[in-house]
Amino acid sequence: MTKQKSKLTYESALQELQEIVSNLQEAAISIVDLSERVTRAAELLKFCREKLRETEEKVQGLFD
Amino acid sequence: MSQSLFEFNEFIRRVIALNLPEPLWIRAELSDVKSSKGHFYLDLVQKKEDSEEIIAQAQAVIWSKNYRALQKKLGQAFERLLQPGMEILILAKAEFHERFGLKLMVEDVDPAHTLGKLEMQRRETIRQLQTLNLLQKNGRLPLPLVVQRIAVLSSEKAAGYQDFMKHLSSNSFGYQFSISFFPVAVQGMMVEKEAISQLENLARRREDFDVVVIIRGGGARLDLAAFDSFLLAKTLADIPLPILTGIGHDTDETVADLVAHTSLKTPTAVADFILHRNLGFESQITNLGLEAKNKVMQLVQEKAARLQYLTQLIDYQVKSNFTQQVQMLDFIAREVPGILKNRFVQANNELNNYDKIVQLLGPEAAFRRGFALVFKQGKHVSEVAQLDLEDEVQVHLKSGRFQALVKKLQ
Repeated sequence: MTKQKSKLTYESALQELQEIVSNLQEAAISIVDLSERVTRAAELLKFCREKLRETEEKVQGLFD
Repeated sequence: MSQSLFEFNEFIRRVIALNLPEPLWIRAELSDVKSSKGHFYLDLVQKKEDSEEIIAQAQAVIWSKNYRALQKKLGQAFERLLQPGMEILILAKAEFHERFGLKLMVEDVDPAHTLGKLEMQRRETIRQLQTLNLLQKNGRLPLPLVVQRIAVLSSEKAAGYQDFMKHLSSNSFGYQFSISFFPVAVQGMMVEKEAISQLENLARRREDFDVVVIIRGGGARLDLAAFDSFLLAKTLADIPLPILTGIGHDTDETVADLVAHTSLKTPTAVADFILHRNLGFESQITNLGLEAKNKVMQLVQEKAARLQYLTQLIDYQVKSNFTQQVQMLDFIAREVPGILKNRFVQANNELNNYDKIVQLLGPEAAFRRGFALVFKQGKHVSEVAQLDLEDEVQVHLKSGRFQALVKKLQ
């Protein structure tokens, strides 16, 4: 899991997030899985938000 | 019945004196003139028409007293009349002397007759030359652009010759001339013979000369009669070099002038003509040089202007391109932040959506809506059939969990 995390990119994170959402919508998921998936989704969201903020900060002021 | 010679001659003298008491106008050609002690002795002849055969001959005398009177009346023209070859009209009285025979005592001379005769001869000569097509012959020869090698026919003593030489050599342009002098008599009986002989000499050296110049100072009509000679004119016309004449005259041109390539009024005018011709050539050369220089300068200026234009054009194009690029970059710099911002907002919205969906579908939402989760021995119970009476279960709610005992199954 940690290995995968290090290779995580914004695009792959977003893709995984989309997969989780469609799984959740199927409703045929066990409650334990459900909990894990939601936790993973929260992680991915956090990662994506951080990446986005980081990038925004980087490009901020470049075109002033 | 005989008489002495003296008696006979005395008889003739009386006959003549009686029958010819008055002087008469007589036409004749002078074949010879001699003077002695102020008296002039003339040999008069008449030739058969168009022939040299003499058909009449007589001697005439102008006594010194008459001579002086005629000189006073006619001026210099009188002396010029008394040249061998001249056709003259004299008023003379016939006198017969027993020892010296018949003599005509000249009392008057009519120069108009001589001049008229000369003029008639002159016209006839011109007509003949015209018939032979000789009048324009020399004039058709090309005159060199630069005249430098000059054959001069003149007399060393002639004032005109000195004028010509002085004028030519002291020219202010610095032109140099090579002058070959062919001395000839310019007056009297010898003119024709000497001139023709010298012309023949120089014709043999035609390659040495650019032109032939015939020079003579000013003179009265009678002086110039020699230059009306048919033979001289014919020789001149046949010379293979252009002839310039400077035979000083006031009114009519001589036949030599008419035959020449170019006739000028005076020897000085001939020198001027030559100098002007050379000057004309030099000016032409100078002008051509200037023209060539101007052409080259014009070309250089044109090319320089073209280069200048191209330089400006390139400069302008570069600047214009640069401006365009700058404008484009400015545009990008202005637009990109907005685009980026939109993109970030979009990405953020997307993430928020996912968040909401995950929240909505997660277990917490179910609890909030009042649902409870039931576990039996750690396993989630979703069907009543999984339970038995008296089973111990754990029930999860929103705020916590509790243990329960199954009392009834329905």
